[in-house]
Amino acid sequence: MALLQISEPGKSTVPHEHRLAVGIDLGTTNSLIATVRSGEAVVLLDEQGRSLLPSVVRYRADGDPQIGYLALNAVVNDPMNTIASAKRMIGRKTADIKSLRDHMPYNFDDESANVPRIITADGPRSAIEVSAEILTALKKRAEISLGGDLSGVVITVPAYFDDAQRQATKDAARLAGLNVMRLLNEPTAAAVAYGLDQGSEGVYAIYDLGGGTFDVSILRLNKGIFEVLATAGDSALGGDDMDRLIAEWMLDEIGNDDLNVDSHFLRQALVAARAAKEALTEDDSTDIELSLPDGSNKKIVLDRSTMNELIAPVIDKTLLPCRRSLRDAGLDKEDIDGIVMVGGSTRVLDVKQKVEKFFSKGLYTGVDPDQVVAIGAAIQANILIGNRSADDMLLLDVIPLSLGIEIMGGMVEKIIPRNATIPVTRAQEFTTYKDGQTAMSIHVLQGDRELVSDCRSLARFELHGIPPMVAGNGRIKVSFQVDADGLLSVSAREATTGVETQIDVKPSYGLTDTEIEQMLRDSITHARDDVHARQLAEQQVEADRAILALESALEEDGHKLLDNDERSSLIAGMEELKALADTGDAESIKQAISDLNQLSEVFAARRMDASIRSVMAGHNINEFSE
Amino acid sequence: MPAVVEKALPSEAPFSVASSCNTNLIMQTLLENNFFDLFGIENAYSLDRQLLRDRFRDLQKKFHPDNFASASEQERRLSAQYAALINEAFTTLNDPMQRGRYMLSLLGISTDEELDTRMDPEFLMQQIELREEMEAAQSSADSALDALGRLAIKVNNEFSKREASIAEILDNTAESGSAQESGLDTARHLVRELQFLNRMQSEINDAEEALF
Repeated sequence: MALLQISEPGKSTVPHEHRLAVGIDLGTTNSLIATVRSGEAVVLLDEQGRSLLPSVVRYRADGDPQIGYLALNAVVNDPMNTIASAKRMIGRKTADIKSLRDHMPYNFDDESANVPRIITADGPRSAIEVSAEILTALKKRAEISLGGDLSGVVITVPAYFDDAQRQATKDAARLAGLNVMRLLNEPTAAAVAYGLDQGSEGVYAIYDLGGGTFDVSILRLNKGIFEVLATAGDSALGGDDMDRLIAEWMLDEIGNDDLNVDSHFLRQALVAARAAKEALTEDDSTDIELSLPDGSNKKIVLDRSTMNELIAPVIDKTLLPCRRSLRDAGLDKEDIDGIVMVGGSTRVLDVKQKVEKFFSKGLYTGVDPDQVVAIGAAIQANILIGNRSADDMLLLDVIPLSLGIEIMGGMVEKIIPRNATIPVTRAQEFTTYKDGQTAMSIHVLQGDRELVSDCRSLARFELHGIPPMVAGNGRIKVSFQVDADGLLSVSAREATTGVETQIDVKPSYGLTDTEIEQMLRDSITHARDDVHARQLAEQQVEADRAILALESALEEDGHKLLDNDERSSLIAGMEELKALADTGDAESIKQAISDLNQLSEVFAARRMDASIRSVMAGHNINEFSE
Repeated sequence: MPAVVEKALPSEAPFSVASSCNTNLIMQTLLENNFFDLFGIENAYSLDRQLLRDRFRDLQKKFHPDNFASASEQERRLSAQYAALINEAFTTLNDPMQRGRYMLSLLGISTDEELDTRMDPEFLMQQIELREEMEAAQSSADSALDALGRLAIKVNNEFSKREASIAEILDNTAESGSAQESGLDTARHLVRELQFLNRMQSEINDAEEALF
């Protein structure tokens, strides 16, 4: 498999309609941004010609935050205000971070907060805000490099990210003012970057070991369709853990086993550990120099076989998900045609060796493992924005963890199993368990264990207004819908008596809308923006989008599927929105878009219906001719 | 305030589309046709899985939300619902147990374990034996993996045998057009046994995984 030079197909849009779309790899250690330019996917460079942006943000009392290399330089000297590896914290609650906390030097504010915040010189900052700063820096880079505003982005996330982590990533993008067209799983993105070559068909394992996350996906590639069969992983396992093990060894060597004494020294040790790990991908042994807290210097030597022993637990821990993903895909090792290696940590020689040995198959390492995910995301973004036809590529992905609700006895009843292809919709009925029960509390969980306490709590909500009935007679239908981003929404409905009560929830352990708006107002970066102007611009873009979509639908099917009255009423609604988009305020444009949407609902339904009829008719014709 | 709920008996609707006020209206054609029609394949238990997979891909190429990224909001929402239903149809037909259950439900026969807990005593005995074998395999220190492997093959054979019997009953019923009640009752039992064997397979897998 080689990276294909994608040529723009003949039917591509005329140049002035070319919309700017980018793919962003928001990594634990480094982030990248890429786009498809003149038919070729390229990573965008900063002004100094560097492709990577270290995912590090330094908050200062008297100035804008520093992002990237500048911040990275401060990691050792200003550890408490310099936040690295925010991806390990995003979408997690304080309690979840606690298990990681002993390796993190930061001070957190309110322990009970839904969104933990790190205390910095510039006030408390959440992982979402840190990520938003990184995204904003990448956005600026792209706008300078491409010379215009971005119309849409695809952001990659570890396949093993749960609902809360995905939602939080989307919140960060919203804070950065990005229009997210899709959250794309990192291994799938890598497969796209590798596999667009029409010749490569078969089943591949994508082994993605980054700085702080591990994913493995089993994926079947056939005629341009990338079908993920199963995915598994660990959203808190990666190169960071290797660094920590090496740092602990170093501290042990110099006779200091208390990791928590000095965050400055700990950071220094972690930085030295990473440098040593990187050096050992080339050399058999490396010298490590440390300046001790007492001011003296110490030199120690680490050879590769010692390092391999130290990091073996991390590598071994990745093999269990490999096994599980194969099993969930219903395949054996022999069925795999090749392994694609992704993520900076796959540069470690022993990782390559152990993975090759596990699958007994060759490794694909042709594309830079740091860049491959961003490149795949850019290719997908280019298709979603409409610069390139989707006809020759489609990604079918899965959810990584089962979704369910709590039932009697602290158990979880699964409603959607892990590795279900998304989008997916499932419903299940539950009954009241007490006489005269008029409300039901629904607790939404994600995870594959049977006990509630072992799963991730995503949301709790209550359904009220159930008419009093004998226990077991009240029937409540709970529906789960997971969209193509892997995000869940839940609704519950009591329908026994005809008195319908319905509630819809979007689980969010991220931020509420109000919190996001507040942050936008508060944030130094956005202080110069007029929030109103920004909202107006957003609604104008939305209006344009709605008008364009309806115009092209009318052109295609307006005469076939609508009568004259229906057509003229739609056109009238569209003209109204057009006029308002130029003169109105954000709120009224928003209302007009929603009105037009409602007006065209039947038309949209007829178009889909006609489309499925024609596909089914096509099948039947094939059947006779076969 | 009750903090928990109880699982209800599954309802027998062939589709479990999320409730939207007019879902049924807007997805008329999809709902009027069964899963086999959707894929344009013969309504039979023995099916060409490659053809099923090909048709599934054809449909997703057309209806997956990625094709509607710049379409109107309703079309985006509808495409997600269509794609979800196509996924469900594929998952159902692609899995031998679910396919059997679905075909029986089309004939008006429920395979609910909770409505009917009767099982063939011979089958239950065999289940107990298999379970004992699994426990023995797990505790055999150095050859646990091999023992579990042999057990897995045994369970798979039991599974295949039942698949063949179900095909014989359901596909003959379809051909003759007259549902033979005793045959269908046997098929119902066999489908439920597949459920048990499925569970067994996944427990063996778990046991294998626990060895690493």
